[in-house]
Amino acid sequence: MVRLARPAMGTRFEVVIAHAGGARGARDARAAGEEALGLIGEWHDRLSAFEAGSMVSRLNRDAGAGPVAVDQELFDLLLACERIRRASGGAFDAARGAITRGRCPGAAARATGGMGAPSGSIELDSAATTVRLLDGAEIDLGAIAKGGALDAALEALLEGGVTSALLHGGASTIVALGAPPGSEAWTVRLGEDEGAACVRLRNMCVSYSGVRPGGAGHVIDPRDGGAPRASEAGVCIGASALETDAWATALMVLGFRPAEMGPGLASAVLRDGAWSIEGPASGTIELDLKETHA
Amino acid sequence: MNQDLDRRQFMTQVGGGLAAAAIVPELARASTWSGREPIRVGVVGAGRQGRAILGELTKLAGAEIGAVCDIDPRRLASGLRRASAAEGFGSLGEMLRKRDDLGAVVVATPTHTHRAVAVEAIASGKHVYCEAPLAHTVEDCLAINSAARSARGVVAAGLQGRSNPVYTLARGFFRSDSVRELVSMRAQRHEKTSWVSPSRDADRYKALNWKLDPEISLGLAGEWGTHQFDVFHWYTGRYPTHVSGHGAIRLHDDGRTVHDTIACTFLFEDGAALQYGATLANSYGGKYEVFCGSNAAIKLAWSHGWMFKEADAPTQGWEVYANRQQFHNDEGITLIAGATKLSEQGKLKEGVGLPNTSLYYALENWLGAIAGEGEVACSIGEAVRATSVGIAAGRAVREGGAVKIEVPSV
Repeated sequence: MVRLARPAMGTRFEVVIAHAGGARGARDARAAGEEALGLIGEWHDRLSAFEAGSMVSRLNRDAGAGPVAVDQELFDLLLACERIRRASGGAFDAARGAITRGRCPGAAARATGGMGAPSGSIELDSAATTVRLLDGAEIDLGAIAKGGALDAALEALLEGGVTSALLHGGASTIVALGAPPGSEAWTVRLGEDEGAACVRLRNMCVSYSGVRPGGAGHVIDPRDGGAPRASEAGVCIGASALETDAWATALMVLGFRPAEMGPGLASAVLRDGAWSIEGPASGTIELDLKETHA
Repeated sequence: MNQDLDRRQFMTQVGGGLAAAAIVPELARASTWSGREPIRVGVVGAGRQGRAILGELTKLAGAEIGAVCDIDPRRLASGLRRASAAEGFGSLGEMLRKRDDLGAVVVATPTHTHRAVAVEAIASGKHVYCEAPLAHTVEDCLAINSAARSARGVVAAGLQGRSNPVYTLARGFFRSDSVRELVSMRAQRHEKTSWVSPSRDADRYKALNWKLDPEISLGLAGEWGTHQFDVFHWYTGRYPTHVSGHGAIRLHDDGRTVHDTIACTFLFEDGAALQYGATLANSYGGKYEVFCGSNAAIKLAWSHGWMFKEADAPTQGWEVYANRQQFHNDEGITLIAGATKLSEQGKLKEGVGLPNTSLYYALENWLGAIAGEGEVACSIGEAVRATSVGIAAGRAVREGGAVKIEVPSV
């Protein structure tokens, strides 16, 4: 096994790669892992709202002005954000950074109406590959960028010939490539306590968004700036980490699976200590949430 | 090292306004383009550096990425994703033939291919930015220099320290009385990485991993060191006369012969020395350069810079604005571009660390020079000299001995 890690997006990304082929296999696995983590670093530099020189910071500074040309990769990411915002009824909204980054705390924001720009404040022009943010809008990709970066990293692993690896960002979004040697799937525990639920994954991604021990959470409802009250946790499983990352947050905020959620995604919501599991559980996904507790 | 001339020149220029002049340098200008049409740029080479260049060009109002070129289809595809509506090409010749509208070309290919790409791009009349080190042989450097001398466009090299606002600010201090007599110099670059690019195809693997091919690679001293050695050249106005080197493989024992850990000592004519270390086996300390003087030391770390004053150094006045950081027993005065203005706004701490990468400022400088707004910060001639030092250091490390440095007079 080769294990590599790097900090990015305010958390720790890690990749564990199983390989054969002795020293040469280890060298190639390490190279593929470095390439994958390098791409995650590039995503951080380009997309973090906390990096003054990132493209996202530039877009935020230009909010309220005219359209800004962006690269295809960022444009496609923002298209995905808009699609998921609509499907989730605003429970995921990348343009409400002023709220999700905590500068419009819930109660005060609700009292003053200071919620920043309304939902749907990103205008995307596919023909020109431009983005226009309405005045007050502020992009925060914190609930989706980890997943997008992990998807890019997975591509790098595949291109490097890796067939068995586990890759995660802050342990909240996890990509399982193949299975570990001698096993049929990677077993991933959701949550920090030993009794937490487990999923078994092969060529799939899982994202977990939940209240941390002691009741503290980092998720904010972008619709009202408050802490999510509908559920304790949301889990999403699917083929794209970008999708699962965004939907895990939206599921936790909503407390239920919306009808508009993609058919290829499995979901689970923890409400009052009980899991509600919906969506396809194909042969590559095995949900084992029975032993969990609130 | 005698710096009297430099110091006198500097003091004459700024007179009694040292504090203000030193602390308000050309801050990271916003990317203004004065209403001009942006210049259409073709980027040749879409590896890691090429992708970084594409990212920075996207942010610069003076540029529009018209084309991306790479002989590797996968890299070309990933480069095109970092641009908006750019056209992809597999060869420079094809790109230049089909895209008359390109006004400028960035060369971000492997070092040993710079000559062919840069000379062709310069000959086509385009403005050219060539990554550094300039080439893997002095002969190739001189060929690029020869082409640049008859260029119709603006030609710049990618030694980024010269356009970095923090480095520009610190150089003002260095060339004044702030550092005083230069005592010693040292620099390092530590990164934990294998320098291997993965590929399942043997031919592609060889092509991607040119930095590990001893026939064409300048090793850590040349590929990384050249950028840092140039900072010392730029600050002191001098080049070392000799370099001794040593290299070893400390971590990546995978059959490679290009060392993963090196140490070099450069000697200057007056007896001053520069110690350089680089490794692929450890990341501690990252990348920085240090000048130690009898009045103060200056540490530069690309996005940040600090001055550490000696207790007996005279007060210069500007320290009243200063933001400070503690490093164990030493207190560093943060070198902040535009500090006076930020201080007036009560935002001094927000100025700690540059908002953009050094690459951004280097490209911005080149685009500005194309627009007639000043000179390029790093000419090809400067890059020839810096690269020749890097080439000599690479040879010293390979041979494990001392090498006389002959800097071409270009």
